[in-house]
Amino acid sequence: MPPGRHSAPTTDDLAALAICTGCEAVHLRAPLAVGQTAECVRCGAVLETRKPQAAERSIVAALAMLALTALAAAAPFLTLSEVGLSRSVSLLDAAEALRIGPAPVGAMMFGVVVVLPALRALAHLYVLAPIRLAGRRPPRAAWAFRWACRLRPWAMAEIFLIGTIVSVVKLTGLATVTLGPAFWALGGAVLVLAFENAALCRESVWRMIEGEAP
Amino acid sequence: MTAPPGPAPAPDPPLARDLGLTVCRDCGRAAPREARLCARCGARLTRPNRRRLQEVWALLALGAIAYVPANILPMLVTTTFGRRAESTIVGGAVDLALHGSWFVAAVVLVASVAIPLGKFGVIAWLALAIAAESRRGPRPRRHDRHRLHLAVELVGRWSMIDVFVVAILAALVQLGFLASIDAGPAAAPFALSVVATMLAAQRLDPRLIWLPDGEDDR
Repeated sequence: MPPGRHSAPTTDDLAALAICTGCEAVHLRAPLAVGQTAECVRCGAVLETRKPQAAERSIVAALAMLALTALAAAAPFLTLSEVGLSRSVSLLDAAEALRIGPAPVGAMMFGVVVVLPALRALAHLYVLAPIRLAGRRPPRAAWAFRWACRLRPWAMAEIFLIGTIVSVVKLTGLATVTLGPAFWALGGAVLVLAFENAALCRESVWRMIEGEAP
Repeated sequence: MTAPPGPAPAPDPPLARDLGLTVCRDCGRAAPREARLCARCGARLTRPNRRRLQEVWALLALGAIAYVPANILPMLVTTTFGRRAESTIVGGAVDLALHGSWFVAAVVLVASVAIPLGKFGVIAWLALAIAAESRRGPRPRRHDRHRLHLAVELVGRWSMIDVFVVAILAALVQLGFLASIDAGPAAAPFALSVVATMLAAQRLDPRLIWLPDGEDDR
């Protein structure tokens, strides 16, 4: 480019910017030290956080999440007993059996409680494991991570867990309810989710997908 | 208002619109204003546009309309020894309180009544405020409005608690003549109401709250 001539910004120029998704303020991106957070100067939203070992921790969290959701799906979730009669239900049983009118409510519940958290963990694993272990980006990584982010509000394991506790309280007096191993597995999955939230910064993952070192 | 500790606040930063840029709402990547797809994540790029508030209003109306049968009709139908009892959302919470489970009753009331009603009010107020502001006038209380929007997005999903309670009880309590619990006709409209208002909150573009004073969208 001849000196003194302006030109349209290139992809690299744009990568040097951090624009706030909430308020559109434009910042020049500064390198962050581990533990540092960059906030929008206009609205205060977090732009980027440099977390220690973000990729490693997210991979571990995703593996734990897959194991725990598998257990939560298949093991007995709650057992109800009343004068000699007893009935155990797993989330998979509920997914198959529970219909309200024509609506497959059990299957929808299973989707948001077990399938979506597991799918999000799979997507994190699919994106981050090759980047961290082999230094290469898997095909369609951006698509996978974008959907993992978009589906976050619809993955409702933690809300389901509170719903379970409310149900158990509602049944006191009517019958005896025992919490099964799947309940505790789901509780573990919710803790893993909290750990993942604390360990992972989305912007950092996007930068890794763009080719920055983890 | 308290100033953040540390050095004096930075001067007003340039906005993407001033630099001929836009930002991807999915991944936060900067993009040229005329780009249609995000170069980083592939999402369709949108610019803040007041006309898209119509989607917010439509979803909010759906959520509010569905919330009426959700509260009038029974949520749970309990049959013990052949006797049938129906309970609505509020009725179920009152039963819990009468049995001494005050805390759980409060959780249900907050999740199923306070959060949905608050959400209708906040989303409607935010959308009205954005639509009512004169196109070239000042835009006050941006921080408060932005925080309210974030709070609604964060908290709104918790209204699903009661839907899960119904599903769990209906799946579990099937002991024939002894006791059985089934979902009432309020369950579906309640779930619909929660989903519609979650979508309404997501569709409200916070960049409209942060339009600069004296400027319009586009």
